[in-house]
Amino acid sequence: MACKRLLALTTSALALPGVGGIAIADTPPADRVLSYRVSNYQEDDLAASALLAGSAERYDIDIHQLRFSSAIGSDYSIALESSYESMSGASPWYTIQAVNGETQVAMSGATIYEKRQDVTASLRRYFSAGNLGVSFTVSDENDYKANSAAVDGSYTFANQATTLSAGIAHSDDTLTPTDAEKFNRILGAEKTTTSAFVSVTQILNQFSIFQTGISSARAAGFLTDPYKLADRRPERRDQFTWTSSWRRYFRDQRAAFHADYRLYDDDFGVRSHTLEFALHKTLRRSLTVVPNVRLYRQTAAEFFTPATDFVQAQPFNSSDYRLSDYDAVSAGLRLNYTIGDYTLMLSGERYQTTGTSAPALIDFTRLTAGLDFSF
Amino acid sequence: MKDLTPGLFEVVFGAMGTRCSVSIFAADMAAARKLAQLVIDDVGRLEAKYSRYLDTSFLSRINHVAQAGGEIEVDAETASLLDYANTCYEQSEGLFDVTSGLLRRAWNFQPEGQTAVPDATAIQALLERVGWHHVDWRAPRLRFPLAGMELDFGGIVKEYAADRAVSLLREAGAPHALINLGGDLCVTGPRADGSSWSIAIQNPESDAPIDTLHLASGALATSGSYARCIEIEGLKYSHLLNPRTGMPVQGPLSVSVVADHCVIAGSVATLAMLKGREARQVLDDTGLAYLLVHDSLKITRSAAFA
Repeated sequence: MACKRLLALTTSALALPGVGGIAIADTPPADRVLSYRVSNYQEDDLAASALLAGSAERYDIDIHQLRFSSAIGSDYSIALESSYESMSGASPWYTIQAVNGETQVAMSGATIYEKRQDVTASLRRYFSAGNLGVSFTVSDENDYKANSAAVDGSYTFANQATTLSAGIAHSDDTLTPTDAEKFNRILGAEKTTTSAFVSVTQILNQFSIFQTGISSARAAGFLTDPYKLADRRPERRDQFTWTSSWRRYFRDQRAAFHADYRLYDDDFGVRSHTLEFALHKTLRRSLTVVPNVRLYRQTAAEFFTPATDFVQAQPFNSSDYRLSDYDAVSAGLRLNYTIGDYTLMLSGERYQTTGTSAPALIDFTRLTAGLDFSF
Repeated sequence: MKDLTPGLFEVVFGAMGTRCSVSIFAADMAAARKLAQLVIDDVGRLEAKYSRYLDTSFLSRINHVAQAGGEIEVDAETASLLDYANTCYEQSEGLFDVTSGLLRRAWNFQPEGQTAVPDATAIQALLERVGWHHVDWRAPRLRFPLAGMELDFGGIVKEYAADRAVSLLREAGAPHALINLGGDLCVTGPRADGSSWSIAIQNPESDAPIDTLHLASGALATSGSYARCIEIEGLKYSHLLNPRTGMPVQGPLSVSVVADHCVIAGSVATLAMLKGREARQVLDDTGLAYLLVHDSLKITRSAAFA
């Protein structure tokens, strides 16, 4: 492990105005960090006017996350991560066009209780001009299992002002829907996703960084939602994403402004734009506040139908609100407070959608509390 | 010896009480001067702001408050320097202390300025007002609950100025330049032909070169007692004072350290000097390249120093 004293001096020196412009050689994180996060994600109840049948109570999810990372020797780091989710609530089953022309949603009748857990292990090797990492994830739910692996690396050059990153990932998923025979669902199905990304980060000067990247993914297999009635989707989905971000540090204000844009496009016909702004403001040496706002807009998939197509005249159709055209706005606030080796984190986010064709669009509130311990 | 390589221009100036120079590969002298002026202006700005000899400096304003007791709000640059000073204090177990300058009142490091070891009670009286832990630093407010203290950024600001010079020259499009602020050296990159800069390290006693360092990136800083030391009754006393005992540090004659940034090289060199006999252990722990001249004039080089 690199000398702690030197790292402390380096970290502090890089905060000096005019010194931070130059990055240092890639080294593993010096501290061992143990982090815990607990989040509550609560979807708003479905509006009574849009409810056709079932429960208006939508998902309420509690998420616990535990993460440990540590350097091993001077060239390696490992991280172990685990999360546990417990969810309850009802989900949209099908939609119909009501007599008055409005679409209404039939929800799954009873409240669903689900548990999901996953574990990720990753190893990273650091070189003088970059790093290379591998990770494996196992995710387990009673009706959904996924195994995935990823490799990624980055290389820094041009006076350490430019970083090139790339990675590939693959996931093998198995679905075994519950109550399959009772509701005439598929008994079991497979799905795979393979993706790759490449990005470049450029330090423009000591106050600004720009990053841009593209990624591509192909999902193949059973991409239909087995819990929705008469849902039928193609067996392949090719996805493309372009991201750009810009970071600007304002020395006198002790604040950093982040602006991010993301373009997503797939061959289902969904195209989306995401624009996000955040301000990382240091109030005191130990206290940071991060307000952020995110704007989202997407077009509908070609086979999206506001009301479930029971006749199935078309080869594909889905009334899944996630495939409809809609806009979303979310705003959040995060606080980080450091006392010695401990950092306390609190955040809240409110997400709201507007759209005309899908009545089941969600609005949600997410609250998170966390504690990091460095040692 | 003067480097007469074509295209290499040296601009010499005086600042921060020392000889400074900028060596730049440029189209002509006018272009080199224009680039060097960026450094000269910034070093001048920092000197005007942080000199403890100038009554008009911001440091003097801080010291007026420190003298009387009270608090003062500081700007972002000063705040980051105070944060850095705080890190130096923490990482040196209290040896690298920006409040220790007060002890110089008991010692006179001018040649022949001191003929006897100061009185123990005089040192004790000063020691009561030395110690970063007495200062309440919560950015942007600096509070001195104890009156009669003094702050100085010796060992930090000159090195910081050298690092800023690197950023300024790089931004202005001078990737082949060497900045030398009285022995604190930084390069913006290799020489124009891609080769390293050769830097002579002097013998503390005779000024004769004892080693040549080849630097293509990063910085070199030297902390040495030979530049300003006094001799009392046959014993040599360094100008570096231990903030706990008030006595000069006994140990190496000089320490030269190579790091990515001059401010780090300078802090590590100063810290090693302050550690006295443990200097070598401290240097080895950092993994940085160094050259250590012991008081016996024996030289220890780290593996990476070449």
